[in-house]
Amino acid sequence: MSAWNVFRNGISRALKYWQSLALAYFGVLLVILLLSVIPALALLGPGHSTAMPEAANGIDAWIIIDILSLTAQTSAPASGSTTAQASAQVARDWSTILVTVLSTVGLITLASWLAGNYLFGGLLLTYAEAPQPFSLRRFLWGCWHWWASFLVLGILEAILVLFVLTPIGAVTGYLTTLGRFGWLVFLLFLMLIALFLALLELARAWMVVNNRRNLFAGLWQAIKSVFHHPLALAGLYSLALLLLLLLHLVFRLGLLPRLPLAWWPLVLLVQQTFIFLRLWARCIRLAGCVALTSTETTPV
Amino acid sequence: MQKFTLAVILAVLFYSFPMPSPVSNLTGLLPAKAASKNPVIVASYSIQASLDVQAKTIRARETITYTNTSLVPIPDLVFHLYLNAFKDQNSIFLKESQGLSRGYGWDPQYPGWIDVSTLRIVNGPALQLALLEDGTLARASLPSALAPGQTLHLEVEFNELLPKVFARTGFVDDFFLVGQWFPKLGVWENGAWNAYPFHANSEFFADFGNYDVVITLPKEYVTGGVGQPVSQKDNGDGTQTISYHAGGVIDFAWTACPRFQSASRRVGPVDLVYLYLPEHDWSVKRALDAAQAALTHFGDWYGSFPYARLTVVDVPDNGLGAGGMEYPTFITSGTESITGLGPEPTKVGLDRSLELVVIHEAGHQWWQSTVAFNEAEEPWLDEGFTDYSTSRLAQELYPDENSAFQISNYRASYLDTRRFEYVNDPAVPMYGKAWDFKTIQYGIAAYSKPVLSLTTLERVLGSRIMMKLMSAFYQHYQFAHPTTKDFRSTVQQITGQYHAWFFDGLVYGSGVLDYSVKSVNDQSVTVERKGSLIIPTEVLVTFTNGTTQLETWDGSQAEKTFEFPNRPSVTSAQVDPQQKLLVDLEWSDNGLRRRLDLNSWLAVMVRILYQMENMWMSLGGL
Repeated sequence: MSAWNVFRNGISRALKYWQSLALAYFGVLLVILLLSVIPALALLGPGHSTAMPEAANGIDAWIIIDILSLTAQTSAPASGSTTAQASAQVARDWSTILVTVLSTVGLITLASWLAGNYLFGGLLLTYAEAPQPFSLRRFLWGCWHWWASFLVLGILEAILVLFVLTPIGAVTGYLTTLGRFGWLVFLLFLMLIALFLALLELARAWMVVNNRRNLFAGLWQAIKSVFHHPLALAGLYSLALLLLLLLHLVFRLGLLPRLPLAWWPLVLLVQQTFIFLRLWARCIRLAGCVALTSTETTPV
Repeated sequence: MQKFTLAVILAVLFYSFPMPSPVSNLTGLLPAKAASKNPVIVASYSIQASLDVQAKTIRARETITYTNTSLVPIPDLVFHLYLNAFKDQNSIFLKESQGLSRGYGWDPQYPGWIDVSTLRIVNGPALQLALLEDGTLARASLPSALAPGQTLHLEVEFNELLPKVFARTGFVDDFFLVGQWFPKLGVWENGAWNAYPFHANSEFFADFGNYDVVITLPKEYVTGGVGQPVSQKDNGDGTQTISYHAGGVIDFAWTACPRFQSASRRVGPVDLVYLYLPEHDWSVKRALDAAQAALTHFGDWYGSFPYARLTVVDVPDNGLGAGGMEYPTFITSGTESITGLGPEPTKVGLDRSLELVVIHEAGHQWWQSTVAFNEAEEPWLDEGFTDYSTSRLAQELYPDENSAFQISNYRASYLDTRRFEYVNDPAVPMYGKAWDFKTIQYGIAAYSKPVLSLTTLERVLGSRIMMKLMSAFYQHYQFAHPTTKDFRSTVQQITGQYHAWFFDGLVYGSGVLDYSVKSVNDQSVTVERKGSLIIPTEVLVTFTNGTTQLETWDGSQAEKTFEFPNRPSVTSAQVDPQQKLLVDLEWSDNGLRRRLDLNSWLAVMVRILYQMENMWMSLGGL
């Protein structure tokens, strides 16, 4: 299968099975809305500040500086309080901020791992069963059936990112300061990331297409796929990542900086459209992986 | 006829004694420090130097002409030998700085030092020079005390090794920035020498004098220096000799690099010259525009730039320790981004650190080179006044609150960058000797707190009075080495008030200002003072029918409640509604609404939601 056909196949499956994309988008949105209760509650107090409209217009530096000024209270003995009391208050204030931020980030990470890997199974199964019509029951079955395997694969992914990709990325960051040679190294690093993504997504696709839950078998087959279809894979990921880059450019550099941030309904519409399209771009890649894997094996 | 004669006599008498206006004629209003428009020439230097670009050494002969302008005899001479601070790790400078200065490190493989081989009175005896402290000071006793009004001529021969660029001076590759490089007399005042060892945080203090400097170096080198180039001669042996003259200045520094290119323009009567490296050709227009803006605006605000030429020197990316420095008529810039990520963010226009550095160093032409504060004992004066001027001009040139940088919707002004530093330790008094402060405290005391304090003073007094105050202070104390007391005196004379909150609270004291609106009820508002500093302010109260009421609050009580029994319900209250008090520690608590601002809250939540979704997807989740 040529790269273009794989990519086209991915687009057509992702478009045909819009129901699974919609389920994935609203699933993510629902979980994030639940998690956003934490910052929402934290912002209720500041929501009474007359400075809130300024924050609504954009995060100016003074807002960040105001948060940092909490540490300065140890140096400013408040009337009626001792330095020790002020220090204790500062420690409590900073603890509160730290706990709020870490808990939100930690919960997003946990939710992304749990819910994200849950949705993978349903999505991949829908694409693997093409051209059969979309079935909610099959979608949910797929979610449950491969959830445990994908969770373990997610842990493996996190370990590889932390202990392999991050150090390589740091070295790459340094080498990019060395002129043209640095840019070549940067390009190679981008290709490594694409390969990393491809292996993990192909592994999941193979497991679903072949109705297997052995993640190591999936990874092994993914590695073999890379050698069997290097051009098709390179083409799929190049096109899919180019599409993603285009989306980022259009939204992050084009539309979003021009939005009047205080017009929150418009901002909500544009931002959620970007998130939806970003998810769609990922679905194209997943559907493409399923299409490629399906040519090697008999589909479920 | 008698009436006519009387009228003439009265007219003569009337116009002989002009009525002083509050600000335009200060003679008789301010203490008579130095009402002269020309500097008193105390210490002049004539230097012939030869630079060995391979060995990084300079051999030089110096003639010093020193006049005792005090009322007491001077028994000895004290010299600064600044370069000895970079000799080894035992120097006070390197111990205090732990080898780091202005973000860049000292390279022990390339130290610097200065050695005086000869010191003698012209046509007189040799003098014995004894090193003091760590060798950055030296004393020589005179055979007979120098009487008041007498002039002494000295001959000095010295050699020196330039360090790899560190703390403003040195070499890197073929670039040389030669500052603090010659034996320089301290300042004799109040019956003693005002001269300290070279401390890490400290800058300089010197008398005014005339400088004639002749430099011999390889002919391919392009040079720049304080003052005006006078002549250039090809010696025929691969070297050239260039001479500079600077009249009525406090220092002399120079630069040389074969790769320098030059761009110039005329700004009124001033020749503006930019020496830049080829890799920074993108900086030419921006640097010249910034310097021109500084010359024009500071001239309008304070008084004309008193010299005929200003040279701006670009420094290499691996020699940024030489950047961001001021000498009379000669400043160094640099293209490092405010983010610390090299020149790229500045180059592509994400931040304006190039412009801000040029404006700041040009500002020092007023608030150092001309008034000549004692930078060692009162660093807040020259850095604070200059940085306040920088911030003020930046706000005027780049009015959209993005005078420092803007990336997408995130923007920060120069004032923000200073406030960012200030909140780390707002209780540090501004007044103090440079070496009394720890490193971060020095930055707050000398730069960020003065900027915020002077800007607060401006907003309290009003811009018109502030500019009259600053221009009066500058014009009266040109070439006069004013002190904090002189500034306080000027403020008192011009405004008629002492402004204790500024001097006792911020300059000398550790007062911190932190006002907030504690509660807003149906018929009352309670405001709170959380810090110890008191500055009278206002409280703006808004009611449900849209009307407002402005109350004054002197801040003396830690809490004050304003009652409005006969008014509609209160919707919101703001203390310091015009945001005059920039030294307030926290701005977000200065206003409170009774009800949640739902629209704004939703606007912020929508963006938080978006960022959380992006984080989810970036973490590899579907």
